[in-house]
Amino acid sequence: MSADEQCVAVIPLQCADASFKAQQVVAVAGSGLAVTFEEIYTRFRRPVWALAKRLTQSDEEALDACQEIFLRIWRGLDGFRNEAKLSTWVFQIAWNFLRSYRRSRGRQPFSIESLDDDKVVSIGAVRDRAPDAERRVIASEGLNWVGQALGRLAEHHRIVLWLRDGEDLSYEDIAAVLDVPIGTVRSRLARARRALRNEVRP
Amino acid sequence: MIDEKTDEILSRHLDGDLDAEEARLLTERLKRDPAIVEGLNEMQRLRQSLRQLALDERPPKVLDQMVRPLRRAGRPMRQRWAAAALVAAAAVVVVGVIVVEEIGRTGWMPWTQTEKAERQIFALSNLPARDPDAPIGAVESLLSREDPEPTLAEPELLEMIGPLNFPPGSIDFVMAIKIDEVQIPISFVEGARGLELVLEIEQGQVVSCTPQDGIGNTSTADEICRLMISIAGTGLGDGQHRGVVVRWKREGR
Repeated sequence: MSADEQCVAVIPLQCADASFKAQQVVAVAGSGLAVTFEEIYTRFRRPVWALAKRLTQSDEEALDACQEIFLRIWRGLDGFRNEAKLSTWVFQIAWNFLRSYRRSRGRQPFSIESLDDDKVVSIGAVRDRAPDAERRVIASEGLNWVGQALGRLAEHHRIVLWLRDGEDLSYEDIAAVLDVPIGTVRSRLARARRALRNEVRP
Repeated sequence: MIDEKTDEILSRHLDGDLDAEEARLLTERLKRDPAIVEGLNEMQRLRQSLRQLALDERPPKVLDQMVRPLRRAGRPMRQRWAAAALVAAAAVVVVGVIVVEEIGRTGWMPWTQTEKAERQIFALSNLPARDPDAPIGAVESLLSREDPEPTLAEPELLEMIGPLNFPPGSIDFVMAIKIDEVQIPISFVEGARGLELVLEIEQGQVVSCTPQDGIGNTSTADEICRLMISIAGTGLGDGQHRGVVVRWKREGR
């Protein structure tokens, strides 16, 4: 038994966020181990929060959304089928809710004014301080810069990019979450990466 | 400038999605074209940045407090829900809901003496003092209790769900009340501090949510259902006190 497998078998869903893969969650489901809400919350509080934050671009709205998403997860626990990947199921719930949440709020396209004050980085200032692309990306200002650039992307680009590069979901998992063919994920991801690159360029 | 087709190849390469022949062709191009190398490097750096952004996210502690009742409740009791829904199918449950955005400032005087007696079952006294900064979430009693049966003489706070503050005359979001085939009028206090709403529910879904001028419908009910409401919006209240108080009672006893 590998270290990862042992981790899944003994303390499922409590592995470190960064190392916990969707495939391991399948092993949990396949093993017949019960998945409790507490375990799900422990595992997914950060990813769900991060997704909500990226899509709402507001701490307050992200908090509201997370509360509802976890309520839906709690309600749906009995309906969760073990053959489904837990991560896919959770992200599906989160995405479906966030999509309707944004529509219900008549969300307008991204505007930089909607960002929190402490997260706003002056475009001019960043450009002055970061004369090359690498510095923009690596420095902390660069992370903010990339985050803001991500926020300016179309929602269908933002979500696919976040699930793939932010949360390391596979093409198959993203296709399941978004309910689109894998080919669509593939092409949309390429366009999203291209769009993001254009956004961060001076 | 890298063309779209090349970008797709680079993107797939980044994800390990190229077959052997595609990978060989890309390797050849990378040897010849520094712009493509730079494009790939930039794509990789952006990917690392996004991953770092994701890992750096830290949910606020208040989320833990909001979700605590669910964490303590464990799994939902589906059979209990189903039983309640079956009984509820033949019943009408009246639920009083009051916006609490002014708790602590004026207290509650939601009903006048001229109103119908049955409405008194929804009349709420002053709510227990709450820390205005306390998180808004379902109180534990709702989720842990098997059969909540508040009485007329002893109205009870069953759930506080939030946030709730919506523009007068409109509702911009309503979701999920998990009761099948039952009409549930929900009355909000009318007046300076709130609105009255009537939620119509069919097969577990909210099909209408109508702000009313007067006091909402009332009716008899012979069973209590568990109810979970979530309403969110903006615009009403002082932004400090938000939430929904839900009470219900069994009638006809």
